[in-house]
Amino acid sequence: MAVREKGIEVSPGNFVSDIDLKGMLKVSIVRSSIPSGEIEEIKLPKIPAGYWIIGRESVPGTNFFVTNASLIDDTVGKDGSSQGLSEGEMGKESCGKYRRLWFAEGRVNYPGEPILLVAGPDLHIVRELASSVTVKYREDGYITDPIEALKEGRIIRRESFDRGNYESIYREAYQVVEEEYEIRGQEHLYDEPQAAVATWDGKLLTVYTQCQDPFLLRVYLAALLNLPEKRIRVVLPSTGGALNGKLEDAILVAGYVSLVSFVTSLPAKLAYTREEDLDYTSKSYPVIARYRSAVDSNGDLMGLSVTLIVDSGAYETFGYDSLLRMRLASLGVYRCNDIHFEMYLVSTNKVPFGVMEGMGSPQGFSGIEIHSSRLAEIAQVDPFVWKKRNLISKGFILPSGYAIEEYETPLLVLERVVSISDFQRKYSAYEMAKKRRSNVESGTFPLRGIGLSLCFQPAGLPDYYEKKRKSSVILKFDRNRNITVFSSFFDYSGLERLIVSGLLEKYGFDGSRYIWELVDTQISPDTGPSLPVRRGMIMKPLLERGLNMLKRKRLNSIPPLSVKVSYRNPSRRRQPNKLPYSGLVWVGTVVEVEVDPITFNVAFRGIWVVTSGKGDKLDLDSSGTSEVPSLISEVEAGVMHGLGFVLGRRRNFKGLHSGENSFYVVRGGFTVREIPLKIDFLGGEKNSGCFNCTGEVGIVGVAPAFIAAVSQATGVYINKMPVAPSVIQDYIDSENAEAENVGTP
Amino acid sequence: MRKSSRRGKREAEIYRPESVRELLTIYNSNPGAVLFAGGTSLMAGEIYGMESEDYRNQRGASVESIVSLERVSELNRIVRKERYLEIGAAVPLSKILAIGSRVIPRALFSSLSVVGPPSVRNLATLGGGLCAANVAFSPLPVLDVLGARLELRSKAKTRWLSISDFLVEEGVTQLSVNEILTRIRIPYSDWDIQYFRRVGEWGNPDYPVLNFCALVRTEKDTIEDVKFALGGLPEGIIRDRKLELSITGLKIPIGERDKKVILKRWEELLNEGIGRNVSKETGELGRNLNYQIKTGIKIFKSFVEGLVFLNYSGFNI
Amino acid sequence: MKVEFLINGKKTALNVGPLKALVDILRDDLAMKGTKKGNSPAEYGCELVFLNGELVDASLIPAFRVDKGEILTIEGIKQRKDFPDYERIVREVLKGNDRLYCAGNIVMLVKALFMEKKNNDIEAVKEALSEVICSEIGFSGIVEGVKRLSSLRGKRIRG
Repeated sequence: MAVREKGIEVSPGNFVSDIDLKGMLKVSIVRSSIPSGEIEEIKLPKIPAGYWIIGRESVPGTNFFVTNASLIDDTVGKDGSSQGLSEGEMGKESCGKYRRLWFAEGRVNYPGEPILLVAGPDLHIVRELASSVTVKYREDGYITDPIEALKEGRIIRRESFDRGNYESIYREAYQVVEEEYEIRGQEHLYDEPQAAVATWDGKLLTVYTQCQDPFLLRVYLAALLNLPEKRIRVVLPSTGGALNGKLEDAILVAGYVSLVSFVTSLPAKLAYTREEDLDYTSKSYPVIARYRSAVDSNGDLMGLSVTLIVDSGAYETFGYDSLLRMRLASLGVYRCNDIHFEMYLVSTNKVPFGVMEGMGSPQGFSGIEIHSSRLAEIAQVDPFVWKKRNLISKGFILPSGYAIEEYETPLLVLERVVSISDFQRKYSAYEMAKKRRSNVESGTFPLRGIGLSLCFQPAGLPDYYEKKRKSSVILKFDRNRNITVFSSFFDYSGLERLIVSGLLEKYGFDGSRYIWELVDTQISPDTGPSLPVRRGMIMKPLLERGLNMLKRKRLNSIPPLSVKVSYRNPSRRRQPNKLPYSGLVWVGTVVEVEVDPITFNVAFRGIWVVTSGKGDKLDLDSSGTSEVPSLISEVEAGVMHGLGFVLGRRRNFKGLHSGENSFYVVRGGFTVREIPLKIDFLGGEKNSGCFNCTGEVGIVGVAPAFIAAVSQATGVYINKMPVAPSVIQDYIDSENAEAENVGTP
Repeated sequence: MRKSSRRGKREAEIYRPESVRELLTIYNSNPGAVLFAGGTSLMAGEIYGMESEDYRNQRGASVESIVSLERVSELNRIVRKERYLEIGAAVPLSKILAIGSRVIPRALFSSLSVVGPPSVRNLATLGGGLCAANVAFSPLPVLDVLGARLELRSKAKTRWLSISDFLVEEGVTQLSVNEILTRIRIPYSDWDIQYFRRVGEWGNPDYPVLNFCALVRTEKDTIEDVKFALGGLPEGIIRDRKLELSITGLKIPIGERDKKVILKRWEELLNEGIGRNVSKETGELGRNLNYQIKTGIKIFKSFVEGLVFLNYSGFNI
Repeated sequence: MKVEFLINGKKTALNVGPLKALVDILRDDLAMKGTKKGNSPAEYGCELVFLNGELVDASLIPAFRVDKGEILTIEGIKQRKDFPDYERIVREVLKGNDRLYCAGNIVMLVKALFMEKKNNDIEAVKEALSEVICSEIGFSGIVEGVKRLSSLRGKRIRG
């Protein structure tokens, strides 16, 4: 399988951080050390010859780029101008809405906010110079608690809707259950830290980047440098992993390095160290979710009220799609017509949060799926029975207000995961053991629990976005009978290659004779961002249509042949309540744990994941046996990422005092070797499979299933993530303290 | 010969002595020299809360001389004498483990095996771990109950200290200026039960490390001799000889009344060892201490209650 | 200071700061990019090389320690006769994705297992491989891959 590479010193196994060019300047960023304040003075050290300080003043174009707005609001132009916001309006009041700055302007809003760049031939000297820049601030108050941010009115976005008559439902309810859940931001922890290299020869800017959306990057670079897009070339040599964390942060890194190159006319490179990447790049959105349900005497759902408080950090980022998924996910998959929903995106003085694998769905489902396990427990009903009873069915729409197309699939997925994990028998056994236990800490027997979740992950990006983006792919068939794929979609996990080789066979081409061309905006068409959710829904249909066209062309013409295929919105009847995505993948997850009563360490007895998505099954019979293991491998990785939310280690944001709202989580400390993991694609046949966002299904349902399992095992309601032994100890201590208080007259 | 490097800063001088005598001479005339064994603490700046690159640069810039211990013969050998085992302070952990669990006391073998991933064990040394004085270092309580003694040498004199005398508290040892740790001497002794258990994760603030080690000699069902210690709490190693003596002579399984007294004393020990009232500490520190104390109590309790099984199988963990 | 050492069998001499990490020497002074930097957030990186026959983390080795030593990197392993074996592991286990950032480290770890004759000790295999933090794929296949390779090599030796 050949992958032809072009460009300077770019070859297989070489990554952006490996690129070294003659005369290259290394770049370091001077960052804010405080969370919030006005910049009073900047004192620069003596700069030796050959070294540069570059900042706001050197920017030829605009010092900001628009984040969410242009993607969801047609009235906002690429520069945010139609909103009436001018460049100077980035004070505290604007809450970092719509825009993100390249360089801080007069004030800083989070620790680590870039202020200046230092560039030079020796990285050590560059870093020394960067740390010798002294910035004098007039500090002002800062907020790290999203609830406080909400109270102070730091609201970037708000959304709310009502359906039915939930208020009266609550008044009449048999029981009201009210809980609050919290999920923290998780660090992507891609293997290769952020890095970019740029060269400017006076006519053409070439940027080597890891950015998952090279064409969007080009737009931003054009605005930053005031250059027409055709004079900017973006190349993706290789990406050492992404987890959807190489969008905005990669744009920032590429932008800085491009600016340096543009100003100095020398090649420039910016490569974060791991620590820098941990401290200053975005994490997934932290969410506080408040649930208030009304249930009837059977414990079934009557009314549902959900309030989400999403921490955006100091600025709004590319989270448009995540917020939508969070809304869909947080309202769950149950029948309910009386809904109250509120969502607030608030700004705090932290590194801006953004997209991660899962894209908001894990956060959303963490709330509702823990909550529904509680409802089942309160009703003294097996969660599987409860879910089955309350599951969306024909004639109903999702609580979020959308209709789904197939009602059998979620039920089949749920039943299958329950069956392969032996969920019901175990649940009742562990429930009985829990009730018999007098004291969690005194036992010598391991504490066991099992949890279940049913989730979905929408495939592709929202329809209105895909329509706007008009992704396309070019396929060429040459005289040597090779197929070359030209696309901006980056093949970073090997699955794209597998899709292609399988499809080639299907359309009568040789499965081993293809080339995935290096992503280069000068020769690749725009296929939109490289996201696992788009692989099955966008990428694969384009490839299929293209191969089909080539196949027909081949009958009448001799090579070389070439076709270009563009995304076509699947024709749909005008349907009220249509889900804004082209498809859904359903995921059922069961997690079984064993908690050591002495150490409260959580060990896994098993994790089961069953997934299915209608409409896009690839016939794998002709493609050999390695495909399904690849899909399994992707789902495995997703499960590890999902466990990161619950078992990740706390790490404090730099520049903020240690505290409850100043940390995020970093995966580590557990590996696949300790977890018996079983993944099933619905149907159970070895050759059935579904490419729809397999890179995303592992992560979605693991956290709530884990929390439900550990809650059962320990007998305490755990509502916050991450969960560590000392945290479990805390929960148990407060339960015991409460029990004692209740006892005293 | 001192060479000047960029920006007029002098490069660090590297010394590579081949004997302790040579080492002490150099160290005497360069009291600020950095002793380099495995270098795992020195090269990984993260431990010092600094970004590794900056740390290495800063350290590199401020360090005037480095004394590599790699070639000092006495520090790099393991000697098996009739009554004791002597491990040089600069022997990498993997080399110690390579001797095998028949020669190394089993509890020590277990505690060395849990230090770092394998590639770190190829570099890290016992001497380095002891001098860094990180209370979470797993071999600490094990060496203490084994009665290990540490040889500290300076040009003027040589002295031997026990582990608990050597370790003052987190990050602080009894090493004085111009003194180096050269050997760790572990007496051979016969124990029927060697118990070692580690809890926690290095580097995880919410899952603090505890290391518990216990050695028991039994004659049929009677405890002839017992020693136990808990490492990982901020004050260092928790150990009480009086408590050990009070258990000596008891029969296995230990009766309920005796057990209650023993456990109560252990609980007091942990709380005293902390030297403060845990419930007054708040936040992360409070939670970690609370967890460590409660878990330390449970570990000891499980050891006491498990004696009957351990005695039967002669097994150690 | 001046350091002299063998790198992948070749004699090399350099003038570098005594505390400069080996990973930086390889990447910057020798332009050998096979050993990656910073692909683990653990206290120690995961930038593996063989120094004097032992697997170590190149970010923990200062220049003075390399002096008079022998280093084997992923580039050197790629030139060896038995590399196809390891390449097979990468292809099978990493699903043909030799472009994974952690691929080099996996090869080093597997090679170390074979060198230390621990390839048949499942627990040792799992422990060694737990050192690699690869975010892109799951590792259930790796243990199988090592097992298969072990039996394949065993067959070869026995003829």
